[in-house]
Amino acid sequence: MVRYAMVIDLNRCIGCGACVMACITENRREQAMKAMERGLEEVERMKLRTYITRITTGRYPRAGVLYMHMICQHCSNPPCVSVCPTGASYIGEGGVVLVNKEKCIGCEYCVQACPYGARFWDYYIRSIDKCTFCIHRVKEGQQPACVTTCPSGARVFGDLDDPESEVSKIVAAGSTVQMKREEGTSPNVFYILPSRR
Amino acid sequence: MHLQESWGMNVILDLFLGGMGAAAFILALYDYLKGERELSLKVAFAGVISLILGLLFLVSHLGKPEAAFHVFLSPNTSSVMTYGVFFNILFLVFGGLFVLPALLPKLPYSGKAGAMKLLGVIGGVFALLVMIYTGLLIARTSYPLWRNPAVPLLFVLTALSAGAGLYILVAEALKKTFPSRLISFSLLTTFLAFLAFTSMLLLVDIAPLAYRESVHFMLSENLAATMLLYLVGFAAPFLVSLAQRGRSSKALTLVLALALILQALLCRYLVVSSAFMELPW
Repeated sequence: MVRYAMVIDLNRCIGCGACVMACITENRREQAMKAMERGLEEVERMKLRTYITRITTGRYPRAGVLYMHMICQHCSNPPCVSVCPTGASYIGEGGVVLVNKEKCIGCEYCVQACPYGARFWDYYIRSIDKCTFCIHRVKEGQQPACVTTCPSGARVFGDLDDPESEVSKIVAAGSTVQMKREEGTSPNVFYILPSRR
Repeated sequence: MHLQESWGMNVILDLFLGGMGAAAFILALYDYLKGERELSLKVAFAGVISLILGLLFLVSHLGKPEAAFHVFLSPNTSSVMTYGVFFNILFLVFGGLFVLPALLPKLPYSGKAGAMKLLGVIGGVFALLVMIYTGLLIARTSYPLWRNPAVPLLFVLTALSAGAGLYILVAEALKKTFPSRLISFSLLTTFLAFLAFTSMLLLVDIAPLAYRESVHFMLSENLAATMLLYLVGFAAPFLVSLAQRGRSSKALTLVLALALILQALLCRYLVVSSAFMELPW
């Protein structure tokens, strides 16, 4: 069985934000065009499916910086799916957590249930929106837009159940961590934390 | 640290009005079953109206209310909200039929004591479930403050306080005498709610960072509401009942009723608007 997963190597991330822009271009292009008419502040609000935060650590001369990536963790045990009253949030093909926009009523219960803050109300499409691992591209044999765009190869995507996939090998190497694992969500996004901060 | 902003006043008012309406219905039903028919039916009617108002606030919060029929077409049985929708509707149906004779006394079943009792009891069961579900709804989220086991208990206790407050208000508006035990009952729920809320604050030392941030928020940004809750919501009912010993005053009774209602509103406001979550990014 296919189980899609992503590894984000924070050592490789240079904080360019290309993944964020690629995501908007691929998934929220029409909304972004409308947002541009409303001004810069509205355009800033487009950066919700995935975004990067810059975290500075230490003090000079031992100061460091790292870029943390927010993205839906596509949990195997997603709280957003269990709380959705209409079943609009569901686990789709390959374990990808998706939203059926027709069935979403906009109660935002899933927003409150997600321990990662990965969901948001998109008033342009009148539905909850979030990362889909670009499942429409994956179905056509392509990689998610953020993975293709990343100039430093910080994001790796693949089938975790395929022992030959790169994702599977990285995770098996034991250097990855899952965020908020204690929540019992079994996230399918793995992070390689910076070895030097 | 992320402060929740998705659920605002509309949801707070729904949780408040729904809880108060359900509690008022239950308290009125108790008196109805004991033989007090006239006032109790009108109080129960006010309870159903309160629930309807709450539901209107909830619907106005929904981003796409026209899709709500999907809750009936494909209900997710693992969601607390799904159960809440059904409890609300069943309470509205059975509770609504029970209180309708208060408005239309010549309904075919209004003179039949057995039918009225049956409708009232079924409505009361769903009213109880509505009252309990409001606290469980927010407990099933990712905010440490909301996950506190004291929250569902606090919501039930304050709903009962507000239900008693609504009962007293309706009685005063109709110039009727309400049962005196209602005051003792509301003082008990107020005291227990005070304990539950205060325990939430006192747990701060052993709580996660986001929980501590929530308590800090209640005692800084939301300090006015917290003070108001303690002074008006918790202390005023006791002070008013002490002042009323020996002499009965309509003004003081109204103050007591309003303080009980404010107690429930402020509790929900503070809990909902002070929720923080710690995000890894």
